[in-house]
Amino acid sequence: MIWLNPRRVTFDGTELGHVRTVVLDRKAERVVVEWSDTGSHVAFADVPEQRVTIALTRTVVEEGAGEIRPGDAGMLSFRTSPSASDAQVREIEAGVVVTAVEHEVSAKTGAMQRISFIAVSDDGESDPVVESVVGA
Amino acid sequence: MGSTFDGLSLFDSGPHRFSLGRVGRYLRYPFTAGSFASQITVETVREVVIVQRGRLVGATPGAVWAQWDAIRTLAEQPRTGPLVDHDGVVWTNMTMLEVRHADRMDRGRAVSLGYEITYIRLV
Repeated sequence: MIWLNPRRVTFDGTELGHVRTVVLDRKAERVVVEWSDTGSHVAFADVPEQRVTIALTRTVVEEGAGEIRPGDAGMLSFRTSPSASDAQVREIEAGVVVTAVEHEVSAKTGAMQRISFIAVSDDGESDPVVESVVGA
Repeated sequence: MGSTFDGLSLFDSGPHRFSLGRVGRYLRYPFTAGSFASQITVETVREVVIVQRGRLVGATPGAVWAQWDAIRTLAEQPRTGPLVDHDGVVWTNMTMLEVRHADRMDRGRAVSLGYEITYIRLV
């Protein structure tokens, strides 16, 4: 899932400016696959362990935008909507831990910062990413 | 078709497979411990050993543990009876002697637990 130009992006209560994209990926960390003696096809498959990662890319417009460090934990939240209006605004929240803070500088895009997170569930069972509607 | 042990259908919540161990006779090789013979010595008939590997599946951990407990109880007795595999082959007089579960209960779309059961036709 990808969100372009999300609004009000905050991490651990601090607003992150100039965010261009937020990308959420879900991957199976462990896949259980079983066959039986009755045929050639997989008879059971499940994903008992999975990993949700979030990557945020933003434009760096000032020096010293490097306060966030790997291992930092907090709530990542942002808002998104189909248009620039306040209609159908959705808020996405996730408890996260920072896994990487990386930078890239190019003549085409300028200075970019990419912050990678791993989403953490409160109880291991519930989805770590919660989406809610905040606009009519 | 489903498999059974001593008439009990305990394993059909999830897939499982049977493998037959080595059959024939035990062999004692020369110049090994307890043997100074210069040739292989043919010993007694091997016991039939069947290993069943599979996965118990349920909607809740409790449902899986209930299945596990039913199997464990048989191994602790230990229970002897006919083992019928997926092909309808009947392995008579098999004793369920050992049950081992995987290192973790898997909680995904379903709750499941891998296991391994050893049956031996004791002489």
